Amino acid sequence: MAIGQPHQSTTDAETKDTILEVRDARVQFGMSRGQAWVLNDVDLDIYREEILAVVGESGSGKSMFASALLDAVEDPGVLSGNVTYYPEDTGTVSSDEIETFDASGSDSVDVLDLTQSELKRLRWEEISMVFQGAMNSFNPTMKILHHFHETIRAHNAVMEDRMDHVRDLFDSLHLDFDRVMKSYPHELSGGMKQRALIALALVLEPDVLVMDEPTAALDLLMQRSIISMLRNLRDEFGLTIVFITHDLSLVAGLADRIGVMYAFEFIEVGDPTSLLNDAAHPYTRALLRSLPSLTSDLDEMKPIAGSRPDPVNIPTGCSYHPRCPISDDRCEIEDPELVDVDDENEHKAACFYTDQARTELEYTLHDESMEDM
Amino acid sequence: MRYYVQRVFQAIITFVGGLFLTYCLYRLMPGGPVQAIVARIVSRRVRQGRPVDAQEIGAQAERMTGINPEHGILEGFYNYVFNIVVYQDFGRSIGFSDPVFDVLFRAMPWSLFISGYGLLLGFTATVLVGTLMAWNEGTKTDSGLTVFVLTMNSIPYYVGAIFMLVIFGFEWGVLPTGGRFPQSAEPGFNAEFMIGVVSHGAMPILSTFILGFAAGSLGMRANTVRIMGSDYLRSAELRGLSTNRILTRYLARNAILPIYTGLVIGISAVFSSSVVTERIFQYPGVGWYMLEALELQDYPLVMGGFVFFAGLTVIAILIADLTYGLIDPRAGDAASRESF
Repeated sequence: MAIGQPHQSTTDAETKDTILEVRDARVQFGMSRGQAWVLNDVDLDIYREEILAVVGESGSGKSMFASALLDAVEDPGVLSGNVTYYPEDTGTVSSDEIETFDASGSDSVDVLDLTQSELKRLRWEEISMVFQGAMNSFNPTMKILHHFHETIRAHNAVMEDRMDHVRDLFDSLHLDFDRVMKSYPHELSGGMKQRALIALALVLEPDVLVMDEPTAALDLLMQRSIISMLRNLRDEFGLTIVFITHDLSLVAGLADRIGVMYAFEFIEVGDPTSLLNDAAHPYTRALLRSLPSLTSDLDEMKPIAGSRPDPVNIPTGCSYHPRCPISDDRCEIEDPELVDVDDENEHKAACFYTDQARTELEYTLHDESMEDM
Repeated sequence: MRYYVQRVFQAIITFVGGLFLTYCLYRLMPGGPVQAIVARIVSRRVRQGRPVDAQEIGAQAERMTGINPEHGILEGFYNYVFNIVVYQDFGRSIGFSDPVFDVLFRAMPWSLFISGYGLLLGFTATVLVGTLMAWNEGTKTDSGLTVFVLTMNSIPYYVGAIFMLVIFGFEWGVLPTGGRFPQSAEPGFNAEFMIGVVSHGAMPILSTFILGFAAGSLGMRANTVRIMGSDYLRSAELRGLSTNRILTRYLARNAILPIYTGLVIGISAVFSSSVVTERIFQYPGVGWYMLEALELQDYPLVMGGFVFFAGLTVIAILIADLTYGLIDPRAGDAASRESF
């Protein structure tokens, strides 16, 4: 069931070290029409210091996955399953300043089993989040500076140390510290707000940064520049980044691994090169074929037939089978699990007929950023 | 800065304009003050068999109303304003045979006392009840309070006030039914007087407050519900801020913004409604004197009352204008702030 056993598979001769382990994560909403599953038995390991991009169409469960990592699923959603966090042995956050999590001696933290105060420490000190819609993530009647101050105070951290850290962050993000700090949110541009929000998420030096569509409302240039800043931040501060987006081409060059979600679960996970150039799941292939591009023929671009599944009534067997051109009886009954498709790299897909998909379903990559891969 | 100067000038122009209109009405009314007084003096003299001297009667009427019948409206208005500005002279009350200024000035603290506390309690209740309803959105507390608020809102003020008067004042006799303080009490810093002031003020204050906060609290509820669903509130929760800070700095602060102007302008409404309040509870404040003056055809006093209420209204609106920038930084002074 588990995909990617930690300490086992290697891609670049370096042992992968799991920082977050998600098992059987389900999010359930009671609706008048019945139970809606907006996250359906998701299993995934997130490795230390990697950038994991989670891609999927809207309503595929991406944001729910992001919220689940912090146990922040909003009411009335109910999250079940396991999310385990493995803190680093030697805390990056100096222990005299912020209590580290493994003070009790245990080397793993069950995120869904924490008390309110433990959860408060886990969020922002260990796992932090940048929300969808940076435009509205700041209190409109408060200066940016006070958002930083109140966060630092709420976590009993040392003000000077943290503010020094924020100065470094602002430098890395190319923000003018003095000007941004004394501004109200409405006085900043979208890109500035977004970068200030990233700095706010990193103020307590968390190990994991979860970003939910962080670039959704920005123009292309700003998206690209934020993407490149993220890579620098990862290298500089040893971050693990989970990047949720619907824009595959945006993250193609950024991510170390891409996870594709469909119908509230991962259907394919792999490194960008092999996932983009030779996708194994019929859905991923259809998705890549539907990407618009400047250079390709419009005829080549094909939308995916059918419509996305209803969370109250997810198809039995493989959830993609009603839309899949190569599905058969087996797909309607049996639910495929994520399994390795290639031996040498960690490329997994949840499909019985990956070989058939790869030969029968054609697509060409046009996007330059993807061809660079 | 320019914005503030502009607002102040606007307020002054509004005030003078309002005053001028009132003064015109005061002069042009058929059977207006001067004619009324002249007619009264003439008939008295005729009855007493004394000679009717137009000049002398005119002078007497002028003394009583502060209006020289020989002067036109513009000239009269100029004189009226000139006397107010330079000598604080609003003319002389006919009914109370005191300068208008003294009569109103004595009554003003009492009006400010009951209206001020009514407002303060009303604002607090508006915010608290609205937030409480939003916090418990969709529960029994919410719908119960909504029903209560709507009921209170539908009762005309005077009916509710008279009802209170009947119950508390006459049936149960727990609160006095008129006056500003007990007659036996010596005004000053003593227990009897102070308790008396509170118990006499209780009913006027409570009635303004209970019947007054309704509409505002529904608006407050709607704003709060909207902000509870906002991204910045969720982000604040995840950042681990205390519930207290989220409630005050994030929720209440932002929810008050849209109703703030209404609340401040409401100041003038509460003071004007004191005409009714003070009448019902026989509480001699500015409103009570104003109504009394109308009945006595005491025109200078009525005019003085108008000046008082017009001034309050203009000041309330000016306060709303000038302070909005303080509570909502986005409004500020558009020209002087950078925006990108």
